[in-house]
Amino acid sequence: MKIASILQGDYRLATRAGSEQSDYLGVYAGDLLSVVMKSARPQNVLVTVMANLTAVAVASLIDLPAIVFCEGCKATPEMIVRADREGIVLIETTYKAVDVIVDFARRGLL
Amino acid sequence: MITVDKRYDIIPNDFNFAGRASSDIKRTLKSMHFSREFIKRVSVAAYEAEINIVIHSRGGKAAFKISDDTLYLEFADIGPGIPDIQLAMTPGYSTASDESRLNGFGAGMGFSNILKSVDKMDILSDPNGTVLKLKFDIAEADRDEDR
Repeated sequence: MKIASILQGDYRLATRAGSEQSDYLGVYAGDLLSVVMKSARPQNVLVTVMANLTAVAVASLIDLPAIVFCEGCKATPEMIVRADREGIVLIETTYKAVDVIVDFARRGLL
Repeated sequence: MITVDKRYDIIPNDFNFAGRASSDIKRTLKSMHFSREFIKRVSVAAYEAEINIVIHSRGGKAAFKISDDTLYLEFADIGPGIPDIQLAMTPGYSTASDESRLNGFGAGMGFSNILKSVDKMDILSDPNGTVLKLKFDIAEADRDEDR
């Protein structure tokens, strides 16, 4: 599935335009990055409130192509620069993690 | 035969720099066409060990070596050491700071993730520092990705 298909309604692309054309396979939601590293599978989109550089580093390390920062958490300029460099898509939403999952399920994005 | 031999500095309490060693290790393995599963095992163990030094130590170094069919990682810091290694290995046990937790770590899963990833782990610790040695056996199936 294309990451671009996530970007409807309350989802804002934070990284450079065009980055959303890459693909993903499944979704993993979690905030403890050690648990994310253990359980997320390559190509999963990560849904988290952990809006910091370590989340971007973890995504890069275990091949997660995109992160959805929920509950209004914002990507900082440093995070955006690093994500663009590593080819990771950052998306912001005001939804809670559970609402993102429900929304994805409704739209057939899981 | 030694095919890789690299060294890295690890800076304490610097979450912006954290992960540079692990990222380079991952890039190196990818460029050598190791399998995705093998790269993930090594990367996760490397990152957890690197983050442990960032969170808990006064700084340290990492070494990454591949010799024949074995990959070695060594993480050495300059203290203050782990008072009770058995306790530190217990999943969920952590002495991490609030800043570490805000960065998504300090849940007490680090050693648990490392142990699940490696073929052998040795650890020595005293107040002058901790040395963590990780060993990964390289099977034929680990080498064939994207060839």
